Amino acid sequence: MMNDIMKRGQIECECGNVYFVESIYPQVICMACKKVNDFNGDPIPEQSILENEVE
Amino acid sequence: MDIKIGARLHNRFDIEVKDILSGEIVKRAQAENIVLNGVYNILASSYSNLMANRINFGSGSGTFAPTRTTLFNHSGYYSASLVESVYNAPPLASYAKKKIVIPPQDHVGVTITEVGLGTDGTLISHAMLEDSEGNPISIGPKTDTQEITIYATLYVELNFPSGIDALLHSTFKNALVDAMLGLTTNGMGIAFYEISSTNRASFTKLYASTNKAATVVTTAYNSGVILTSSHFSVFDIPNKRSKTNRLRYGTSVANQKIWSLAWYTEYSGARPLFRTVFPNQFWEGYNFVGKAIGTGNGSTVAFNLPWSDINTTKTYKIYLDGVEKTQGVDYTLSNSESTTTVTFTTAPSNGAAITGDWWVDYIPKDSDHVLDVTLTIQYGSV
Repeated sequence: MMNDIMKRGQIECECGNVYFVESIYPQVICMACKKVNDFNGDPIPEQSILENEVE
Repeated sequence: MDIKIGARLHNRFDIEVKDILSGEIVKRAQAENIVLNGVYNILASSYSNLMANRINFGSGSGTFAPTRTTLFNHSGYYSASLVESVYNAPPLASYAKKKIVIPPQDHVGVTITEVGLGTDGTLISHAMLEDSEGNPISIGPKTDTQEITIYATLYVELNFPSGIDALLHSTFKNALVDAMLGLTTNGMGIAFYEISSTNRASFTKLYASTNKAATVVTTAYNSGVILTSSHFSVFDIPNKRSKTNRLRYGTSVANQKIWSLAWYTEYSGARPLFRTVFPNQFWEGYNFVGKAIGTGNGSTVAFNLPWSDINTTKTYKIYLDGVEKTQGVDYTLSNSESTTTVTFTTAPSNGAAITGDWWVDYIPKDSDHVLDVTLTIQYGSV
């Protein structure tokens, strides 16, 4: 089942964009530069990006 | 001063069909909405918090029209749960992603061709299912071993003229975005209206910053003062907009340097909307001409300008009895945020009129002037 635990955070992307997130996903795309960041603002390597993960 | 903000909604759907026996996603579809006029009945009205938490699905087809209030052939709906919300600083879009899950045992036999997002009473968007290439497709007939998940992502884009900043606060976000995404937990968004009589007068507060160094981007509000408060009371549904009452700073109100104006809602804490920091296209500064500074007495050499912190990149002049004096020869000038002083080489004679021309970047509000401000939200455009 999908993990529906909400995570909340303020993400500061490497590109300088700051955005506020509430999400069940462990990473959120930056709409300014399209990088995928975790909740620490660290970019996620492409091979580990989870896309709407359903188990 | 009339500030106009554009605000547009867009709604995307993503649909997945999972075979519960294999656990595999066996089909995907997507849909791009048209926004229905019903959304403006909510946004441009006194109840403008768009609690669009109902995802509808149906099996019909037909010709789209923004005037529609239902799907072509409604099959059912579920209340959606929040998957993700992201607040970006405008002009980047912010969004809320919500989902429903149609469990295997429900709606067996249904075919889904159309979807729509709605509130409890109003359908706000309508879309037909497509494959990844944009071709029309349908899902179904649904079996009792299929679980269908429908995601609805609602995007909000704001547009505002140069000179306006949208405020985004880490806790209070932006009240307009919050309202359009239907994410506020306060039960109201930009309505500023009719929630309770005790709060009614404080729904929209307009703050004026008296300090040019202060910013209001990350704080609820800065060192400014509440100049006045009002609420959105001009609801223009046909033209998809709502507008505040004219907020008038009267002759006895806020007689000070006004460096910026900021709008907030005031419901369970000041929730930010927008600000404008001068000088900009709404206020390019003010040019004092022949402004009285003082009168000579034969001994005093230093006189403070009645409005300090002048813009020294623009022309300024000092006169004695109407005769222009020369800086560096007849006088020197010191300029700071709190005090601007002209110091004469020789004390002006008794009774000599000291006047000047200069620019300031702020609004030098005094008891001889009023300042009128309105804020308009224009929905459906950016």
